Amino acid sequence: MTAKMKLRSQLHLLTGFMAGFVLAFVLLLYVYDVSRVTPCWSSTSTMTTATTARIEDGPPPRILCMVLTCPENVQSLARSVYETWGQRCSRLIFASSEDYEPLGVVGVVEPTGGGYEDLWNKTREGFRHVWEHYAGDYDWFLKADDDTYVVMENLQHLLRGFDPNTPVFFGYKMSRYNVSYMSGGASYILSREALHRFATQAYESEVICPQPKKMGIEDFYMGICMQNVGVHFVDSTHALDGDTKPKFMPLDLENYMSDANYTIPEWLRLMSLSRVETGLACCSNYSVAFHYASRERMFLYEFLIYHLKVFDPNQISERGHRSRLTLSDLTRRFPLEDNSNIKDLLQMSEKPDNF
Amino acid sequence: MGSLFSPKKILQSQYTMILVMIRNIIFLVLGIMLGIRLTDFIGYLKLWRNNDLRASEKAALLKYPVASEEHLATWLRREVRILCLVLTMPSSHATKAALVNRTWGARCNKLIFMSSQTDSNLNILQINKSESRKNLYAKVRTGMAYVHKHYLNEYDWFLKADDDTYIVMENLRLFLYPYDPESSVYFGCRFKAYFSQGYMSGGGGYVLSRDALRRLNLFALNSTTICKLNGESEDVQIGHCLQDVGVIAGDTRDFQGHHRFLPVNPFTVFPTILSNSWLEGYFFHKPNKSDCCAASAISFHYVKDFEFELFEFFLYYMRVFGLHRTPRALPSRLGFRQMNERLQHWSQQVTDNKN
Repeated sequence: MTAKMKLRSQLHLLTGFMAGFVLAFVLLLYVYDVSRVTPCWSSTSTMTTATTARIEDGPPPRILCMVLTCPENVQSLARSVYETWGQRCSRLIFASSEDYEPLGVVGVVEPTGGGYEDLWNKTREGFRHVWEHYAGDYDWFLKADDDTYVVMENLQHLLRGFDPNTPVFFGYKMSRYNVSYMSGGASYILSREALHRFATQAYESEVICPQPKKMGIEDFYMGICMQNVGVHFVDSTHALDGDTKPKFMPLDLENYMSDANYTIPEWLRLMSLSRVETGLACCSNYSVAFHYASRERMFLYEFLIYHLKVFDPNQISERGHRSRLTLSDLTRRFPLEDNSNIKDLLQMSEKPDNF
Repeated sequence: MGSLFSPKKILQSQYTMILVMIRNIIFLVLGIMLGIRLTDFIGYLKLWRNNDLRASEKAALLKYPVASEEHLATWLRREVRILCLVLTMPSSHATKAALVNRTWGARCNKLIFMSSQTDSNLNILQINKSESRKNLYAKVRTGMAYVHKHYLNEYDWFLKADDDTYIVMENLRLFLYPYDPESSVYFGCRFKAYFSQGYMSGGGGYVLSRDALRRLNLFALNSTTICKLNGESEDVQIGHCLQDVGVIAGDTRDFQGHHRFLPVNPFTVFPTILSNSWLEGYFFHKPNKSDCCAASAISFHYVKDFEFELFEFFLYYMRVFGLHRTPRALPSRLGFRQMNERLQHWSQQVTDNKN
């Protein structure tokens, strides 16, 4: 009896000991072992079908992208936009001088036009067309060239901070003759209210907005129109708290990435509101738009941003929350421009100096 | 009858049961503690062989042997130690070599430049041979011999690259992690040649295991019959040497058949590798034409000066809101049998490219 009890006792001790040991060992190995068998990580099968995770707070802003193109560029640059970043617009429209249904190209100026000299007319008529057909369906209206590359996710994040029912004009802010405007090549964005004011107040008026003409300076003229209808100019460089680097790049990234200073043209330095940097300090980590992107460059950006995956801890997904600015906040942070510097539009020369 | 149920005996029985329970719990706890210590000890044994680990890092890692996901890439940098040998020349010290030094080269465990002149800003191994294409092979031989003599046991893998190569070091480590550096294998972009195994293109970089480097130096470079100096390209000659000493050419394509080492600039292969290009005829394995490049791409060649920082910006600075880019788990390490099976499979591969 005593021997039997002693044996059972030892068995209990051994069982407890082994159970504790195995429990701790297996638990810790499971928690800390990174070598456990995992399936191969999947990569996207094609670049154009790369998908993005949905940001959870509220529906994303609906952005209509109006891309200016011309018949000669439809099969090269416009098609590249269509195959890359254009896929991530809420709606993509090409404004040209001739229709081309497969890509959604709309002719908004007469067929004899369409070149660079018609840029202002194309922009005016393009916005008018967009307003007539789509104004009620979208929040923001992006105007880009067919050689611009836009990171739509970062644009959506920027625009979350603004109410599309307030008059907002968004882009890379520059200044000429003390008149503010947004760089056209870097692309700019109108809120729904801004587009409404353009189409109903500025479009028809010779006093508020320059009339159609050849060699019109599209971005400078748009700046004049926006100021005169009381739209707030939001410089994207300062639109994100804590980030004071440009997010819209009027030049090719090649010019910014070179360390040599000569790659930045003098006109950009003169007319930019803040200092233009080069190298890795040039641009915001949340950059939105790059200009002078060739077809190959667009696919390179698509590959580097959406396709190529780097096993790096700093690439954790950003999920910052942005609260929306009220109209009074907007007025305080981005006050209306002083339009006293704008000369009488009827007396304005055909092509101002240094353009 | 009454004495069997006396209160005294019942109390004693309960007291004994409580004592037994306490004793069992004590031994369970002891088992748990021993299991924890043994897991720590195993982690310690793993780290002990990593002799470049500082004492403070050892102490920190002992507490968390493998740490959390956020530190995976940092941990991986210690697990897969890569020495980078970069071919350059005096005229490129201030441009390409300096760019390598401050971009991807900074993520090598050790970076050595091979040039004919020294430079105080770079870690240069001076090789007294005139700079010409026909001396490249001799230069690489000398570099390999130096590295074998001084660093063979301090690093696991030995990468040779040009100063116009860009290497995504995190993806290289991720790719190499499953493989044993004591296996006789090397990786790169595999090209066809008149010898059966083919060779790895020099411009896209190639990486030798420790045993491959050992075999190259002990059996090939010391031999007057196996590995002769002749007029062929550096990469062809090295490939021939390595085949002759039994180093196996590994397969570096992803599971979709895309090449991870790209011997050209990705610019030139967007959106897909063109048919009948010079590159298509060189590949040992026929490339997948559905798109151009692997999502886990490792190297690019013919990189222009500004593109070093362009890649740096897009891979390490650029953020896209809501987009997950990083695989979160490591593949499993191959055991001895699995590694041998893999080597056997690679050694039996025959080119499927008939161009």
